[in-house]
Amino acid sequence: MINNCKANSCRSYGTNNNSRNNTSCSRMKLRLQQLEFALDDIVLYLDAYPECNQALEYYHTLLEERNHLREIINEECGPMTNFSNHSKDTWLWTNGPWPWQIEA
Amino acid sequence: MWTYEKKLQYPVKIKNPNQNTAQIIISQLGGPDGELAASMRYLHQRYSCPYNKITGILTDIGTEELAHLEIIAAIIHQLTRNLSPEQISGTPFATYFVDHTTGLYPVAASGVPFDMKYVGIKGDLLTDLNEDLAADATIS
Repeated sequence: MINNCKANSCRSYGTNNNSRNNTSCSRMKLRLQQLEFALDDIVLYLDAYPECNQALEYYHTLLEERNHLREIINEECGPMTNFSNHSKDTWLWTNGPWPWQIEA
Repeated sequence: MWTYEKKLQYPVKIKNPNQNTAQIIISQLGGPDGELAASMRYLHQRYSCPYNKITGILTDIGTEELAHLEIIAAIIHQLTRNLSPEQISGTPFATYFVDHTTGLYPVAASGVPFDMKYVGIKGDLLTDLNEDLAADATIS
């Protein structure tokens, strides 16, 4: 499943393919928050300076790790969007917790 | 159109509920300078914008403000959990609680419900951008 990885853009998230590990899920989701926060920022910059190649390169570096991580999170922790319900036998999207709920 | 991602843009983990803090922070939700006003402002200014680049900026900032709206809602939701009647009665929060309990209702801390009058949209680019500068307090 992990193909095509350039050395510095693939991270090991310490997951296995079978169980839903809560610690690694919260660690991965935190990493996703970091990546997408940076992405929000670089998108806004590119909106104003679309010619900046350095910015576009940074955008793609972030995006590559983010897309890879999202695939893992969707598989291991549950769907991040209602178009990412990969399970063919269970509708997981409406499962909790929702982002504003504190996990006990 | 919008896709919703099931995560907050920034984590919110309030350890100690506090109804007095909630009473003040709620202005960031439904007040004149809050995130609902900001998202409505930018998202609605897009349609009359004659430059694609600026339409892009307005779209992306407006969308981010919706994400901020969710963060503020999460903060207030967590600040008002598990409150006892003693913690509510006699505090400023009691006047919010009587009408909304611990539901999230966009108001200002003064109790004035969210109002589109906080937002200026004139369909003229320079006018609308000036509204944005004033709203985001970037004019020094």
